[in-house]
Amino acid sequence: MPRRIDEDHKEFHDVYSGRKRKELKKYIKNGSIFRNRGKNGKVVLTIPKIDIPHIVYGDNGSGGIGRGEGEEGEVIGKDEGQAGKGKGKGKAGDVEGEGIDISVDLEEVLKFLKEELHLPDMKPKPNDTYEEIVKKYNNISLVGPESLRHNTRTLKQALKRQCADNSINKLHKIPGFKNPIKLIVPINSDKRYRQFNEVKVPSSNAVIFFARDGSASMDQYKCDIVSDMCWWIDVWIRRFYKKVERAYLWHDTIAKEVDENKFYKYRYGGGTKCSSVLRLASKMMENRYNPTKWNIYLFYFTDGENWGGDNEVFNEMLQSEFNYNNVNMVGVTQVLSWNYQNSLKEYIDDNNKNKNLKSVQIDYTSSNFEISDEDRDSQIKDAIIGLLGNKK
Amino acid sequence: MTNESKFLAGSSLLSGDNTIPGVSMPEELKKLLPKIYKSVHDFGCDFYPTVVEMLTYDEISEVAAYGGFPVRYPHWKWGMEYEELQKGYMYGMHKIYEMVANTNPVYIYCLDSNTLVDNVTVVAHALGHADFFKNNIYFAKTNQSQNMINQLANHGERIRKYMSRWGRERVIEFIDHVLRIETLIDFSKAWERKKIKNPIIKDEREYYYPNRLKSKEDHGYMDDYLNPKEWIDHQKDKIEKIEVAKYLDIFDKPSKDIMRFIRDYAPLKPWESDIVAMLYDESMYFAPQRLTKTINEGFASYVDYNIMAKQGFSALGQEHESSGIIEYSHHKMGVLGGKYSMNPYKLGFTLLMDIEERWNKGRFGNEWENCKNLREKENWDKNLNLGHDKVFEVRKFYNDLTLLMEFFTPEFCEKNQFFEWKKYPNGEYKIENRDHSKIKEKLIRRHLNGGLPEIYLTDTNHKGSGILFLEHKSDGRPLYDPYIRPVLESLRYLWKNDICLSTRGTDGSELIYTCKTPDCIIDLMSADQYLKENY
Repeated sequence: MPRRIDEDHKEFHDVYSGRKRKELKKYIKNGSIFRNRGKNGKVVLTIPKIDIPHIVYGDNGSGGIGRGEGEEGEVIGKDEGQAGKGKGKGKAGDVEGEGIDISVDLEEVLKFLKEELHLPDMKPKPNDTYEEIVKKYNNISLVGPESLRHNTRTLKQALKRQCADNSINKLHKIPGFKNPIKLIVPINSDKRYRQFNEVKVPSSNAVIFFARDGSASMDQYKCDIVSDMCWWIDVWIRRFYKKVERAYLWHDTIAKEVDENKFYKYRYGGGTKCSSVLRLASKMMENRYNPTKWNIYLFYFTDGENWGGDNEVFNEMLQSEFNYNNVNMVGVTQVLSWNYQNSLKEYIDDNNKNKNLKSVQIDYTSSNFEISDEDRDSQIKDAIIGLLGNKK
Repeated sequence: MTNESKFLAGSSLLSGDNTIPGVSMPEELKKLLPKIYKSVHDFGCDFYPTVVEMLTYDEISEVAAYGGFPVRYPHWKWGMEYEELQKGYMYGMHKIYEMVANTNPVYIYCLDSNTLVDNVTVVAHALGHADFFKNNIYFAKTNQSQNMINQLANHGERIRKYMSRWGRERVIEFIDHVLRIETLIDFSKAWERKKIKNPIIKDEREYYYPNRLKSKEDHGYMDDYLNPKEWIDHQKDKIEKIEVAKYLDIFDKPSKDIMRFIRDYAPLKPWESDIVAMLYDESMYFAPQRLTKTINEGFASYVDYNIMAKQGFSALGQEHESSGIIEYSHHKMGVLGGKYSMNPYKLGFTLLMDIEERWNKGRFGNEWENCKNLREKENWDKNLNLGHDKVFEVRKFYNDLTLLMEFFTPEFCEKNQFFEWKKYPNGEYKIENRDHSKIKEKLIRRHLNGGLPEIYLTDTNHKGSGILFLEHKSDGRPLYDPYIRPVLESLRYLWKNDICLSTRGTDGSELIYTCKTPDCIIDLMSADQYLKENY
């Protein structure tokens, strides 16, 4: 029996999920979703508590009445959550207090991301040399093993034959049946078997090169921006490919491959030679990730500082080795702390002929040396739109 | 008359409503019910006829979500309540033992998964509530006019009709607006009896006429010279202004009953003002419960304690005589809370127990107050045995506020080890002091005006342009800012004109919220700034 509460309960859920959707949109719009890492395929958001507001007294949590034993000044309890929480990561966790944490499926977040930021789908390379051969059972043959026999087709064939020679109207006596019945009996020539064909499908393997400048000028703050962006780019690309491998490259004057943890944390005060990382990547493409079999994405993060004369080398390599034929996409992100006369991005933008090369810039040249959180979020959002979006 | 109240066990379903099927009553409880009824009655309680229903947890949380009346109008807030109860039960955080609805007959809902002792306790406890509902003067009005469950069902039906006529979403949105101002009522009015206005309408208006100078007899031709037309017109204008001002001055003194004002004077469509009127009535109906929570729970606990522990009902239906009392104690401990807790059950129960002890031993009156000898006070016992009667008197005439004001004595405070705590920035809670007057002040503040801020409507025609001017009578505690804004927006939506709210910040300076038409932008400014901008 339907109960009255079910209706109201459903309505509450509508209100709730409407609120959830609204909050999620807000999070995406101001970019603060990008500092929120998902865990186990879920992203945790804080949404305001749903309540019917009345005029009430403000927060009275700083004092009250209790009863029990104890001397004056004795500690009777402790709030674990508040003590010793420093500034830094996890800012999203301690916003405004009043609110409920809910977890949203990452897939849903990505769907909203696609709608809100108008991100296009990633496409595998169109060239047929990157195709993969897959066996598909989409044909029928007259011979084959019995295990692949197509029963429906076989019976249809038998029916056709029996209709043609009029043997279908013959009645058979079958033990267990009272009345004689009509029968369809396939003979050898009626039998049909499934047969595979080789079909070429676009390759669904992808490799993402995350490369970054590891010189001393990349401080912790920039590293945080890099890691936030990498995580979301990674999630976004993985949505479109079956198998995605990641390679983390790090460089100062020489480049090397590192593991994920090191990539985000490792710093070394050295010089900067951006072209070294491209050389390493192209070497890896030769050895491990053959461009004919892999969809290749390269994301490079820098602070725009480079050794004199290396910009030219860098750009030339981008044009020749990381061009349209070899790689799906190259994204260069420049996290700039102050303006150089000729930063890497400027040089690339001026001399770019590569269609799938995109470059964006996150700017934090402010008077306070650190930009506000909102500004940071919106800049990261713009950078991600710039890299993954349609706009050139 | 009232003593003839019948006791119906697991009888019919709620009148006209089939949403609650209920579970059949266990035989052992059914047998015990008349006994409980009789002993509660002999204890001095007096209540309306009672219906006991057995429900599963799912059903009881449905009833609880609707506040005891499963016939309310459709709204998502019941669903929210239901979800909270269901989740809390699922994760083992809390559990509803019983529900009582204040109607005639009284409905008592028991949980079928409770043990026998728990259910007997619940019935005794609920009968305590039933007695309180009937006898406490603050509830006196609530069941007089008609059976509330029918009235609420009528409200639900009417709102459902409006929904089918004007669209569900539109009506729900309007209800959302009204619900936000449902606490802006005058609680003292809940105590008033409903007056039916005198149907004979008398014209009690004062009429003003322009002053005329009288000419002598036979000198009628002088009239035009003595009372020139300009002078008469001038006076007529003045009179018109006075009359308009009188007409507009609907409220001659500040009133707390803002919702009633909206109901009577806001420019609403007929169905809208009907909804406001219905919700106003419901709000008024539930107002006494807000005012008497502590004493109500305390009294019910007092009754079940006397029945179960003192009269030994916990042993009924048990294999061993002593087995029930342990279970009852366990149940009681869960209800009355653990270390450092300060729930209304415990406060009310201990206060009533203290009153009983004091009046039993004669610890009241001038003699007791003036006695300075501590040892003598400690052994004070006059064997008056007035405790029981005093408690029943208290349940008749007091509410939370007056109970605390009169009976929260220094001795009680000390005996029960009350303290004031404070939270420090490092997250530690520390005992601040054990000062009786400070603790009492805090407790009383918590119960003033049902624990809600006192908002007065001081001017209905502010600046001469129909702006509502509200004033918060501040006692130093600031209002909760994020909630003021939506409430003001809703008031603006209902009144369809600007709203001003004056309050005081933590430092005592006057702040003014203004909600402006048509964009509904809410500004917060200081009083000086407001005067500068508007005058």
